[in-house]
Amino acid sequence: MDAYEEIFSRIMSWQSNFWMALELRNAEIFPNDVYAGEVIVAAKSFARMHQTQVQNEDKIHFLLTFPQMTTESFPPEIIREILLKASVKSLLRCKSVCKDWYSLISDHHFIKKHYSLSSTNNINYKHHRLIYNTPGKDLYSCPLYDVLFDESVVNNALQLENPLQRTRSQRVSIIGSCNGLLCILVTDDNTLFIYNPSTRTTNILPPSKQVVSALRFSYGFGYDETNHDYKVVKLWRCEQPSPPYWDTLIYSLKAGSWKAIGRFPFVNPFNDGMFLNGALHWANGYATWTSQDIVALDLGKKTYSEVLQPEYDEGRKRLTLGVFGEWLSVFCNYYEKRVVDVWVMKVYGVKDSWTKLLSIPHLSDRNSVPLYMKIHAPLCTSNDGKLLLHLGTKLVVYDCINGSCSVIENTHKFRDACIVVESLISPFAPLGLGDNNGDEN
Amino acid sequence: MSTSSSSSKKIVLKSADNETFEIDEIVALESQAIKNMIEDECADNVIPLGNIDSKTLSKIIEYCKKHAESPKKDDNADIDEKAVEDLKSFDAEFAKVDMPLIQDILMAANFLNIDNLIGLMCRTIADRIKGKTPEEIRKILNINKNDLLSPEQEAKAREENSWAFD
Repeated sequence: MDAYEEIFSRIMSWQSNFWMALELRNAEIFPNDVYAGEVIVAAKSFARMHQTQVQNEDKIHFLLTFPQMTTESFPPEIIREILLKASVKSLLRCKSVCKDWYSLISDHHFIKKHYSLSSTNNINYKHHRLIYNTPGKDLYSCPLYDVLFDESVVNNALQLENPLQRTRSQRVSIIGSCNGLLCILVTDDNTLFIYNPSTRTTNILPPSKQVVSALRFSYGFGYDETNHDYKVVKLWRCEQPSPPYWDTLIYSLKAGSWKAIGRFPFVNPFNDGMFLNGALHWANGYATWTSQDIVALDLGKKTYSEVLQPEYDEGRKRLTLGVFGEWLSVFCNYYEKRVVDVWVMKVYGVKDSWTKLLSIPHLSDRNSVPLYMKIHAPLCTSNDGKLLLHLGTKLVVYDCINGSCSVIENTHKFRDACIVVESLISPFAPLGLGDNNGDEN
Repeated sequence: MSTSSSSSKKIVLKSADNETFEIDEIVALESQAIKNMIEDECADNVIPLGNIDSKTLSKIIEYCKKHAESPKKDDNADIDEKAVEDLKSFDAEFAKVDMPLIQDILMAANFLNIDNLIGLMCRTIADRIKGKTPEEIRKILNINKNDLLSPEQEAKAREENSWAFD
């Protein structure tokens, strides 16, 4: 019984059944030919004595009988590892390979994991794309790598088909991006839609009934981690009753409806909201040109708060917000000094953590005049110290180390631009991610 | 097969075709499975690897040697940029082998539990199935023919993502 006991304890304790087969041979319990049947019988009778069961009996049998490498296909955990590293386009094809792959690639946990792996791979930006539109009506997508390192988008830019499938293409504006999804506004009729440019799926949002008429809007798009929900925020300026004020509506993808949450507490939001850390951020208030606020709207709590800012220099300036990785960033554009300071908040919400990364002098060439008024969002930083900036109608790569600056070649002008990580995430209600018991309000 | 100093402890591996490989313990420790064996004091004799042939095993040892020699990322904050680059280009060269060997290395790396190598091989396979048709992928990866989608399901899956097949 000692031999049985030993075999059984090995079967039960070793991490891998492979090791058991090896060890049995190594220990010369069964010198050369391990008879699988005997081991199983031994293990079983021992298990009966101890009123338990032998696990993975068929696997033990198989391994002991055929310990050599076979031409079997990979185990599921390896298939998963391989597919987690594949591109979205590959994965869409791979759905047709077999049933197992189809369900794996459709699985929410797989989709989430795939996205988080893709978004953290900053070494070669394999899954990052620059999405932009032109003053015409077209949306383009091109590899971020080419933009940062080849300083060209012409060759590899791919025109995205008209996402709305409308017969006539329309002027659009990119509101923002989050988890591989874009929020886009059709400016002709204020239609909003969520679009995944990697899977080319579109979800058109219903119009908000609350807004009767307004001349000025500002939007934002982000993910509400607490409720596992995507939210679109629409700020609109009410002229009546005087004095005018801004009101806020939030669309929940899960609920499928718009909801008013009350006034925007500050004067005048510029641009669209920047998403970071569960909140949308606006810089606002250009009445005096000397001081401006940064406001955060928490998408989970639906509350506004003010973000403390660094100590800027004196003088007329304009703030533009951006997001560099995990940092909220502010471009402070001084008109008189003709210089732009780039600040980042390294610890969210901590005033002392604001750090000035660099100062960029205004470009001296005549065509860069739009920089004065229209310094757009900073787009991204590369791991070798390059900043991708959207200035006027141009994209510029600024090298922080040697201060050089190069304009991205392109045949057309850039209107809006943002960075998107390729993902399989659906632009429809995120069912099944976390709780889905429909407790939204 | 051993090259380096005789002072360090040696581990002997034996391939399926009975070739033995003597390697430094530090190299063997790249494999989590062998590491566990050493910790459990099960690695005093020759470790027989009855499911890994000598061709695959020598590739794996080549990989483990290189990675054992390179400074680890968490060793100190200022990692030598050149060493990182060097390891990257080693990995790229290492993966330039034909598909059957890639698969053997992956199975063996999975068995020996060498995380980085599993990752490298999975990435390589992911790159190689790029642009392939589902039929080709089935052939490359030995997909079980009993698990195919029905013709209707396959047509639907293709139609939903027709542009991905361009």
